[in-house]
Amino acid sequence: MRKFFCSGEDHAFKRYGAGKLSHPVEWEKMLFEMETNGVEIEFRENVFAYEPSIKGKAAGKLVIDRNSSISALRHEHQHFLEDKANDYPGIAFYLSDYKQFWGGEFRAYLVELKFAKENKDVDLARKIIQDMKRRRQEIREDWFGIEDESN
Amino acid sequence: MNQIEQNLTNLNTAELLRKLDTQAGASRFFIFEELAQRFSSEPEIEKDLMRAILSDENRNTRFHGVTSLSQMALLALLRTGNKAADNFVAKVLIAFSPEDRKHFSSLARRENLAVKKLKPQTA
Repeated sequence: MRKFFCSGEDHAFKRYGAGKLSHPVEWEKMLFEMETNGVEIEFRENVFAYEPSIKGKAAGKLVIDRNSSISALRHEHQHFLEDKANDYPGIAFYLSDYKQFWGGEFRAYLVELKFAKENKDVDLARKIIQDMKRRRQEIREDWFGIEDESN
Repeated sequence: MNQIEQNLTNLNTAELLRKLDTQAGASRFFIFEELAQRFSSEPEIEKDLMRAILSDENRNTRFHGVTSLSQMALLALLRTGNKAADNFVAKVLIAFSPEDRKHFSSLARRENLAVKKLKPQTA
């Protein structure tokens, strides 16, 4: 299997296990909400992504490891909520503005940090912040060609 | 049409193709969209476009880690509804991995776009 470049690892899994076991009601509720809103759901090992529809005017696709933590699903669910709030504008909308793209990622990571805070898990919070930094750099450089931090 | 798209319409096709080698992912997405629009009226760009798409596939730039820019470019070509574009997409897909072909088919299905399959060549 080709290794996809993912936005981060599921650090919460190691300590809290699969979300479908640790938070079964919330897990089902989030998936149900996305599915009934037209999100296509695909379970794929080691992938954690909500991708808006390419063209827009429709919900996107959730690709997620069926054993991912509740924190990872909350992150992707946050992307879905924003995409829905934006009225499913399509990928061009997110790619036309760095702040738009990074802002969405930032808020999704905040959801994960909230989980770490609720559990008073400093180590998890540190790892999430490292992922945030890595993801921000990837978006700046690979997607928007911004190398200088002052830009 | 956003500012980036507006700027691209002012460039000729050769300039757009050259730009693909130097731009970051977001710009490449819009360049591919523009090239897809031009493909119907400029079929002679086929070879260059194929090279560019395959080169992008090797870069492996994927939005949220899943769909590659080259897959998005092929979708843009299918959306034009042009027969030559359909054939072009079928040819390019041969170079993709089976899982990427499968993923691409699911993306096309979501947009009600048909993906042509080329018959295997016999000796």
